[in-house]
Amino acid sequence: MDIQATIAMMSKAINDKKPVVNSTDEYPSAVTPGMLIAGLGAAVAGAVLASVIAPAVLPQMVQSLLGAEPKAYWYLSRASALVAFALLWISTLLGLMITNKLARAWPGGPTAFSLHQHTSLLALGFAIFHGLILLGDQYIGYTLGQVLVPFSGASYKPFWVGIGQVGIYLLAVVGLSFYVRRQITQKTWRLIHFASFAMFIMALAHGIFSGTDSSALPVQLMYLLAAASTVFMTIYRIFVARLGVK
Amino acid sequence: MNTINTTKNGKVNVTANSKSARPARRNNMLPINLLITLTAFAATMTGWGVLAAKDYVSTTAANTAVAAPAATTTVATTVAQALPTIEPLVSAGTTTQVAQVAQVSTITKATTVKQATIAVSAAPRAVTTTRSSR
Repeated sequence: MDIQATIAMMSKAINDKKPVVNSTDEYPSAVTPGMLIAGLGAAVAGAVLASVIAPAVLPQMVQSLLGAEPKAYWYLSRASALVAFALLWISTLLGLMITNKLARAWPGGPTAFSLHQHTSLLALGFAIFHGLILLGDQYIGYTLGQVLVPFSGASYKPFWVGIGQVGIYLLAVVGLSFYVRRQITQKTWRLIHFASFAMFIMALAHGIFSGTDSSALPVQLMYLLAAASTVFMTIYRIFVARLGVK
Repeated sequence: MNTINTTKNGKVNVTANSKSARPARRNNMLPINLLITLTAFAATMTGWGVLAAKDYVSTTAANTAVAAPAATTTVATTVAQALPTIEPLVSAGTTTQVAQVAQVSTITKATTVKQATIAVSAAPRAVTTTRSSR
């Protein structure tokens, strides 16, 4: 049998082969099991929030919007600060997991990168909100200039507040560098990302030393876990780099 | 799909279509990113509610303690009754007498009736206008 006959036979076999069709392959699920669980969890959480927590705290929330000096701005600033820090923590861990190769095991390189980028930008958004919402708080009485210029607010722990302000600017540089990654060199990209370590330390110090809620046990636990896990991941990342794991 | 062609001299050309050879990995992160965003917003709103409720409880407790008629009356009466008696002693000014005054007017730290009156009347306002959460 010559080569042409062989090829012809192979082509025919490929073309004649009926595709194996089953219902799963033909109509792949639009919702993965993980997403289904997450969605159901969100629905349950939403129901609990709406039926149990909201009625208990809504009167106080409304009350905090009233009066000559509404406190709602102050509460929103504190709450958004803690959320921003949690997002920054997650983003930092994901970034370290990408570089120390742990992300390959879970949740996968591309997924980790996407989550890393999204959480860092979300952290930036919440951190900006945390600062700007203070303009509405008449008790602390910040001006726009004092919110924007580091170390210029004299009314409340100016040094540690200033450290937090510098941290937000660093976060902006690191977060927005995702969009110019193709325009800058790898060396510059890495250099900018090294600023993440300084930024994380600044955010942590700002939270500990100027945060109103840093005496609360849950917040202290979050700070402790964040610091410990970041240090661990960084040490692991250094080991991976030294051992030359590809 | 890969294309297999044979030339007249029997040479085989296999052209690989890169798209079909290695299908692009679908990595739709929109749902999970949306979920994270909504969770962050929900956490912020919950935080607002929890902080407002916590502050409401502590402020109410402080106001109740200050506004309690019996306690306020006792403090005010004690200070008001004690100070006129002791005021001349303070004016005389010995260390022991000053210490006695300090004991009586522990709350107000006042050394005259006028100061005591101001301190006592200002006390409820001072507590109610202080942000307990700061």
